[in-house]
Amino acid sequence: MTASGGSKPLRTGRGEVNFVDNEEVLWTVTERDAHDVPGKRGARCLIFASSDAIRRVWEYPAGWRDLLTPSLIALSWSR
Amino acid sequence: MGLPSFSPMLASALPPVLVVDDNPAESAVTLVNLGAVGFAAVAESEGDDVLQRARRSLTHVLVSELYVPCAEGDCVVRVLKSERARLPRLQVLIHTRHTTDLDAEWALAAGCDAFVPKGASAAVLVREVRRLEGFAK
Repeated sequence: MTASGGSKPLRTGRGEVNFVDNEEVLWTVTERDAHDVPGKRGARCLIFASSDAIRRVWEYPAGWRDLLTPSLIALSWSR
Repeated sequence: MGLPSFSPMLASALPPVLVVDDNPAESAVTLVNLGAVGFAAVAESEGDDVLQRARRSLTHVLVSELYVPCAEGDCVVRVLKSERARLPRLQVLIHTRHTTDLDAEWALAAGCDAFVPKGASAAVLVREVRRLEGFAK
């Protein structure tokens, strides 16, 4: 598992990235095809999922899997 | 946990958050929680009324139950998200009592930008609405 703030996220073999934010909430990030999504803003999107919320992010860098936890936290706040 | 605070002046400059719920009691709770931190919010319960109000007021943020049908389709969220040219700033948060993985997948397939189960705290709901309104974290 990861620790919050500055640590490296945990990358799984399934392409997911897990990280813990500053409120100790575990988030799992996955990249998805979005061709069939109404109102899509791109061909793909990121889904940030925790136990009490899911966020969709349309704009993100190609190397998002290599981001450190603070950058993933910031990215999850974007849209 | 208390509700996060932010400037009501900033929130008042935005179109009201449109709350969509067929349960009046749950709709009232959502309105109170959003109003407590300065968001202007209005409620609708019928799908066709939702479409009219969202189009008329150029809604930025819609907080909706999951399965809300309308005359134009099986889901108001799917209909409105398909109108990106007309509603380019529309962000949809599904706030629902339907909380299985399948429900969440259905919401994402309908085009939602965020999903918060009704069991989550008011602070979580407010946090996610702030994100969709574009407030700094």
